[in-house]
Amino acid sequence: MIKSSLLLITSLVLLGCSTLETEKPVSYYVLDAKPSALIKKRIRSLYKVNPIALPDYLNQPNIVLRDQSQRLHIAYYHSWADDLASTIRRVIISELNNAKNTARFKARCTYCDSITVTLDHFYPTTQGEVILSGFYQIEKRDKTSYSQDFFIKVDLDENGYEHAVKKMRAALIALTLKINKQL
Amino acid sequence: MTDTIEFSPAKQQTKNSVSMIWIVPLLAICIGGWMIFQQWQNKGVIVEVSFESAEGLEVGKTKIKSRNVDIGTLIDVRFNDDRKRIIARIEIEKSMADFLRTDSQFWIVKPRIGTNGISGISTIFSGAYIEVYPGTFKSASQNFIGLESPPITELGAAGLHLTLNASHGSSLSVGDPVIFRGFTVGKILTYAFDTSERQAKYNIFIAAPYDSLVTNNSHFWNTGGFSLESSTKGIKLNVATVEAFISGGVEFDVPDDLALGEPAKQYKNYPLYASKDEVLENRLYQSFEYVVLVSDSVRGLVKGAPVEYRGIRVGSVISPYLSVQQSHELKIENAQDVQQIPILIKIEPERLIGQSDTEEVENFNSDFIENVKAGLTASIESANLLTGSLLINLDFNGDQQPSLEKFGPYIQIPSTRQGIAKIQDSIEQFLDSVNNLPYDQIASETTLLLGSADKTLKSLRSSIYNLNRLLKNKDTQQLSQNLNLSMLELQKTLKGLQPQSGAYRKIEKTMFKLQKTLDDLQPMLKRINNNPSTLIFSSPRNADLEPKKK
Repeated sequence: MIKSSLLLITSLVLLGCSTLETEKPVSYYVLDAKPSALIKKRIRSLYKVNPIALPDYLNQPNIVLRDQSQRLHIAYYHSWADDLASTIRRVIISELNNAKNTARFKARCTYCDSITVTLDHFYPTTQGEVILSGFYQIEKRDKTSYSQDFFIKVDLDENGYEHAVKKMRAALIALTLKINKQL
Repeated sequence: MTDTIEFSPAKQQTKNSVSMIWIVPLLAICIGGWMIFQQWQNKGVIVEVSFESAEGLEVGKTKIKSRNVDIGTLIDVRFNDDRKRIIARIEIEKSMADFLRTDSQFWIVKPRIGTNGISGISTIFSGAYIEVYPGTFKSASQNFIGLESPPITELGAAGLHLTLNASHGSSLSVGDPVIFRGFTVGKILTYAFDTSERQAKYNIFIAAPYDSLVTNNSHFWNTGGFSLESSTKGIKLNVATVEAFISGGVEFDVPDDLALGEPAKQYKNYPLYASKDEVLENRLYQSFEYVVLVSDSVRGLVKGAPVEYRGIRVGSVISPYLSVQQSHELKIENAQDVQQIPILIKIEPERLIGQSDTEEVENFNSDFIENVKAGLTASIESANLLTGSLLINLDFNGDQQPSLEKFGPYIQIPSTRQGIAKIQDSIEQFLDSVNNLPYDQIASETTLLLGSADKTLKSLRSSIYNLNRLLKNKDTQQLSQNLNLSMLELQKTLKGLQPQSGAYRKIEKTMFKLQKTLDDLQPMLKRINNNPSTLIFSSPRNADLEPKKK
C-alpha cells in the first residue's frame, strides 16, 4: 500500500514537471556588432576613454524598456551578450577613432587627455524612441577641462528589440559626433 | 682859271658817348651782385646756445647734427657776460630753420662713460658734434641753453610723467631704468632733494604703450642688487635686471591683494618704497589706533614693528611708548600716574580683508572691539631672537569684560605676559626651585644609589658572560641560518601573490567572474524573492513588452 502511494506521488510530481511550458529562447545582443580594424593615421593627440558610468538600473544583463507611463520594464527574453558599460565604451572608442583622423582613442593610456562619459538614461521606449542622456567631460593633461550635458533621441522605424538595439548604437554614434566636435 | 672845289656837305655822325669797354665792369658788377645775392640767399640762421664748457668744440669744424644729418656748423665760441658759461654761435641751414623751436634741445655728443653704459664712441675719431632734437612748440627761438648730457627721452614722446617721493636713502640716478616684472618700461628723467619736505623727488617717464601698466593702485619700490627669500618652498634668489643690478632702478606693480585700479594720470605723485617687502609691510592702510599698557621692557620694540594675531599681521606699532610731551598733547591726564608703558598701535583691517571701503573697515573695527571685550589681549613677543626685535601679538588669553577702559582718546587693549616675559617668569621660577633643592639629602641618596648600581653592574656582567656562551653554541648559530632560509621561502611565496604574478591574476579573474555571475543571478533572485514558488512551479511567463515603432 505504502509502495503504491509513494509511486503515485512520484508520478504526480513528474507529471507536474512534464507539464511545464517550454521556455522561449533568450536573445542576446551586442552594440558593437560591426567591429572594424583601426586605420593607420597621423596621430597628434592621444585620448583615454574612461570606463562608462551607468546608473544601477542599467547595470544588468537584461535590456531595459520604458513604457508611456514612465515605468521601466526589464526584458526577460532579451539580454545583453556582454557587460553594457564595457560595450558602450568599445562603441565610443571605435566610433571616435573612425571620426577623428588626427587622434587615437584608447581604453588604457598613461599620459593622455581623457574623456569620461556618464549615462543617466539609455533605453528604447514603447513610444518609438531611443533615449540617450547624460554628460561627458574632456580633461586635458594641462588640467583644463570641458564638460557638456547631452540628450539624444532617435526614432524607431520598426518594432522589436533587434531594431531598437541598432538604434541604440545609432544614438551612441550621435554622441561620439558631439564629443568629436569639442576635441 | 679858278678851280672850284666843291665840297660835299659834311655828314654829321653821332658818336657813341659810352665806350663798349664799360660792358666788362658792368658785367663784373652784375656777377658780383648776383653772388652777393646768392650768398645772402643761402646764408643760414644764426643761433646761440650756451653750454657749461666748450670741451670738444672747434670753430668751423664742429658740425650740428640731427639724427646724424648735418644741418649746420659752429661758427664762433665766446664767453657769456659773467664768463661762467660759453656761448656757441651756430649757423643752421636755412632749410632746417624749422628745427629752431623754443623747446628744441641741444647737447654736445662726445665719449661718455657712466652707470648707463658707454656712449659717443664714434666721436673719438670724428670729433664731438652738437646734436639737436627739434622742438614741438610753434614759436621759434634763436637763443638756447644746451643740455650737459643727452636727454633721456625724445621731446614729445608719448608716455607718462610721474613723480616718486622717497623718504629713505636711495642710490638712483638719471637714466636708471623703471622696471615692470623684469622688463624695462621707462627711465628716471631728473631727481632733486626737496629740502622743505625732506625727501628726494624723482621724475620718471614711462613710455607708451607701457604707461597703461601704471594705475592708481601701483606701488613703486627701489630695486637693484639681489635678495634672498626663504619660504616653505626653499630659498629663492631674486636678481633684478643686469642694468638695475649694477646701477639700481625702480620697479612697480599692483600688490596681489589690491584691485588693478584706474589708469594713472600725468604728473601723479607716488611714494617710493625701499623694497618690495616694504610695500607689503608698510604701505598705507586705513587704520584704527589703540593703546596697550605693558609692564614688560619695550627694548627692541620699534616704530613700524608688526602687530600680529597668531602669526597673521594685522597692524603696526605707531610708537613703542608715549612720551610725556605726546601724552600732554593728547591731554592724557593720568599718564604720569600709570606705572605701565603705553604702546600706541594701529590695527589695519585691510591687511586681512583686502582693499575695502570705509564701511567695511568700520565693521571690522566694531567686530575687533567686540573681540577685545570677549578676551582678546596683547602681549610683547620676540620677532627675531638674533636681533632681539619684538612684536605685539594678539590672542584670546584674557577674561571677558563688559566695558573697555580708555587711555586718553584711545581704547585700551588689555595686556598679558606671554612670550619672552613668560619665559623670564619660568626661568625665575626654575631658578627659585633650584635654590630650594635639598642638596644634603640628594647627596646621601645618590651615594646609596651608586652602591646599588655597582651591584647591578656586577649582575649584568655575569648575564653578558652567559649570553656569550649561548651565542657560541653551534645550535644557536644554526638557528640563525634556518631562520634566513625560512625567510627566503616566505619571500618566494609572497612573490607568487604579487599583483604581477599569475596566481594573483587568476584570483582577480575568478573574482570578476564570480561578481558577474552574482550580477546575472540578481534578477532571478529578485523574482524568487517576490515569488518563492517559482523555484519549483514556474508560472507561465508572458512575452516581453517590446519597443514599438513611431
